Amino acid sequence: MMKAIPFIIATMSIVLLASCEKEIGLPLKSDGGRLYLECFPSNGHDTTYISLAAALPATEYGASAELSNISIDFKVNGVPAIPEFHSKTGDVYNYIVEVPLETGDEVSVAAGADGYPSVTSVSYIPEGADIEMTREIYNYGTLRHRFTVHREDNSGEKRYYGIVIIGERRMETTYPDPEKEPETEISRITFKYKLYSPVQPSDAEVLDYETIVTCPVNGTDMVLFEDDGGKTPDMEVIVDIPYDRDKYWEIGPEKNVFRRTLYLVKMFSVTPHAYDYLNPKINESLLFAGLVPPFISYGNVDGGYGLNAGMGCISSGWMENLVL
Amino acid sequence: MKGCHIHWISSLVAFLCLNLPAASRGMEAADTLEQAVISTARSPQAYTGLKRLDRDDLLTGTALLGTPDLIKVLQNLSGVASGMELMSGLYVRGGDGSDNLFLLDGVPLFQVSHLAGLFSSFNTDVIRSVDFYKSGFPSRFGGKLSSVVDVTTKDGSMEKFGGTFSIGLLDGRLALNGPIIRDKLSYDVAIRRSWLDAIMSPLLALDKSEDGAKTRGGYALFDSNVNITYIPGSNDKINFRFFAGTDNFKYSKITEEKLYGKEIYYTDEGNRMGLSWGNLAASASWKHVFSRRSSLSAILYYTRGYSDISDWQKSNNLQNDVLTTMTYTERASGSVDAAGFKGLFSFSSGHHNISAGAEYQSAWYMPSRSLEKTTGETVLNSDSGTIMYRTDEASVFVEDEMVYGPFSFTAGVRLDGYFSGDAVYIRPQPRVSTSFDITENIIAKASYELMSQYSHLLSSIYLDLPTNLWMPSTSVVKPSDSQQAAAGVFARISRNWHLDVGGYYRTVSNCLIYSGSGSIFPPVDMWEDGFVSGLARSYGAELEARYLSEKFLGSLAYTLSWSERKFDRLHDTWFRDRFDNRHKLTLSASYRITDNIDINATWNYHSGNRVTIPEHIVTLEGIGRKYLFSGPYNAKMPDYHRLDLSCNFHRKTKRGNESIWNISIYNAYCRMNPILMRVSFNPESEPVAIVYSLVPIIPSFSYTFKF
Repeated sequence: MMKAIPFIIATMSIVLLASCEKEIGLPLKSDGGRLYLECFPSNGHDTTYISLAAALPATEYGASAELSNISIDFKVNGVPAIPEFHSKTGDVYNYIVEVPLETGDEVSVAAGADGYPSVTSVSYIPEGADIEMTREIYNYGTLRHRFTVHREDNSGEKRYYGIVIIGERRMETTYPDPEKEPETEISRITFKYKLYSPVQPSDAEVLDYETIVTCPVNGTDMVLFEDDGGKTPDMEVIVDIPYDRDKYWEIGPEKNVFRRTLYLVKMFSVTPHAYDYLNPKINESLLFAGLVPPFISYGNVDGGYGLNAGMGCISSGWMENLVL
Repeated sequence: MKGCHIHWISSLVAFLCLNLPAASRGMEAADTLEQAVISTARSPQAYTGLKRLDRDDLLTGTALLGTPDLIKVLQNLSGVASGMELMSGLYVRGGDGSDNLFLLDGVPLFQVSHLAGLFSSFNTDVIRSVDFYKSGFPSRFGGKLSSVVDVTTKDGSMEKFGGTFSIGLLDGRLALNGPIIRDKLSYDVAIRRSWLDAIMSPLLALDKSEDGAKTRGGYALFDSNVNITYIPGSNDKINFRFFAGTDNFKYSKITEEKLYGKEIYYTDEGNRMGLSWGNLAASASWKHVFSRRSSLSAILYYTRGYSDISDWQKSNNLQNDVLTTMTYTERASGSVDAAGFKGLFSFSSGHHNISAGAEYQSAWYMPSRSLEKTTGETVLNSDSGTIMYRTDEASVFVEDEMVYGPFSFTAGVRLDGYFSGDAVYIRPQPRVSTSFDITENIIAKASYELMSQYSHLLSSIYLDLPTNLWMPSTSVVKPSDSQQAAAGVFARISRNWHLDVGGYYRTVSNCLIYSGSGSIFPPVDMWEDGFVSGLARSYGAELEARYLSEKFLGSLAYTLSWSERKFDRLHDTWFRDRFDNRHKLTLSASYRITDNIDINATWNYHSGNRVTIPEHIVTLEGIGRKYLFSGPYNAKMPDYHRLDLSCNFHRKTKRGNESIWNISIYNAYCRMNPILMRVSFNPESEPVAIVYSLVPIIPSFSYTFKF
């Protein structure tokens, strides 16, 4: 298929094969490391995650990315809240803040660490997305979610959306012995999504970039997609996840274990800036070669890198599993 | 409307020419006219940004692959960045390469390059002169921001038959001219064609793979110029001109198959691809001289720039003895058809040389893209369709060149009206230039102008590919506007030494850049979303020094320049442009050893082109290595320099014909200049930049026979 990028890359490959190459040091002056900060506050949640990491100068890549004496200031409408260290995954330091957020709130995050310039960022919580969701058991192994965005304005101004589906597995144990209390073991399920839009090309072949993608946000995969500026009144996106029916997992004389699955669907409105950042369309090979305009998403963190992007959330609440 | 080829003082020239005795009107009449132009107007040196080139300027010097090229000559001038090596880029005083007005005998051309920019479409055999403006634009030119390349072709001889035949490594050229009716009607015809397909086709035919696939393909460029000149009377001259410059690339690999299923299937599979692009132009022009003081010129033209890309693929799947055929067909094309008229009236009175005229152009922009996938009986269409944009541009312009002794002042204005659907743009563009002869040998000069551009090149990859589309200004994508002030001094230091020093400051508002970086085939109904508006500014100083003697000609062209952009979507502050080459220097020398042998050398240097590479790297969970950038074009590639050498051997035959052998060496000391760069990690996991160089030393030769 005549896809543009492979076509260009094939052409470039021929050029590069015919050319001679020479390795040089990066033509950059190192001026030290920077902090990388990510935060995606949204309404309807008490918990907000903040991730902080060391962005090393490209000329010094491979050096230690450890951070020390980290300080994080988190404010909602100017009122501070105290972030707490949560975990460290790889080079990333994760913090959480327990504070309720509402639409319109201003969330500012500042961070510092020894040897790195401080960073600051501000975002606002936008209105929730106007998305309808229906779901069905598409086939024995697939639970289909159909998200519909209603727009009739045809303004040409695109809007951007995010979807997160979280599962909760409950192993509910009951005992014939009335003396024994029932027990429930709860575990979180994350899903691998299958995505497409029946009304809009997704669209590697027409646009040469995907308009429906997944990317990690707060440690969970988020489905990101864009509408077409209202040209399609009922924009649909389908997200399939694996379906497991609820059933007795174990039936015995001493206990019965029922496996139940609950689902939580969160639908987000995403700012254009955040969408560009999370779904960059730039082809890095062409960019470094100087062959495409440098449309780079820089984020909104002053003094460093990263993104502080408020998202407007509508939650389905925990839903029971569908019955086959 | 994109301007006109007719010099605003050409009527005077025509008058001089047409009133000469018939016997003196030979095939060089046009050249005589050109000299007359210079003698009747301010000299080119009195304009801030005008460079006048004649045919010898184009033919002298190194001819890459034996093919002399106009754009390559212009790239050597001060104030012009050449972009990527070998490409026909023309980035004038911080321009983006799509803002140059190319006029071939007054007809605007949209597509002026061959072979992805390796050569331009201008056949040097037919060129009489080129006026290249970087500033000080006369009011008769409009529609583009950065420069005007006004190419004038020569008329056929009214006296005798003549011509040239040239053969180089890449192409062959044939030009013929002569009278049809002596002193009344003449022709000048030139064609140029490449050889590449003649070499490629047999080589591909030999490539027969094991599965019996037949490979066919080839590339060819073809140019043709036709000029019919008719002189009905002593005061009139009529020209009919036609130009076609085309590129064609075809490739196919097809395998014929015989498959045994429920029945015997005779079928084929494989792929086929075709690319074609080019420009057609046709015009009729008329010049009439009323008196020594007044004249009228008019031109009616049609021009078409186009590109067409098609791809077809077919594969077969035999499953359960049933054949399912899958096909994929895609076509992307774009064209601009424009028809226009331009009239120019000139008269002189006392200290005033006044010219005024009007121009009208209708243009049709037609991008289209279709895609069809079939799997057995299932057909999936993704058709953006063909969209047509009609635009109308009407312009009036007036200009008065006032000459009072050593002081010259030209005041002009151009008023453009642009109409496209709901979009209406009115752009008044004042043009002012002045010069003052401080002494007989020193001229001070200055200029100021506004320019507007209504068509925009939709190109998301910086290569001159046929995927690039010209699109019009609309209510969403607004015209680009520029203003430029320039000043300088020309000094004839001695009989041999000439010096031209100048500076400029130029700004562009609504500078456009296409953001669809993921796609070189943007959906034709969504292209407006991809254009991003910003600002551009450039400033610098230029120095040109020339040494002329009977046998030796040397020149130096140096540019110190800054070129910056500001696009809020790209960055929050001004950033350097990709061809912000701080220093550029071209040294040229030409020496005539004997009457039959001359040698030429040109050395080019410029600061490296700029690229965007990551400044920081972070490793994130679930993503891995993430590259981080502090701004666009944050790094500079190594500097560029190259030496070209050439030697011409002339030989006159007894019959008065001339043969010329040209031997050229491009990149004589084999400097491997980087054209691309990529960032990678070496075995020690350290990030490194890898620069790629494509062009080693290229020796070539050509043979020309003039008769």
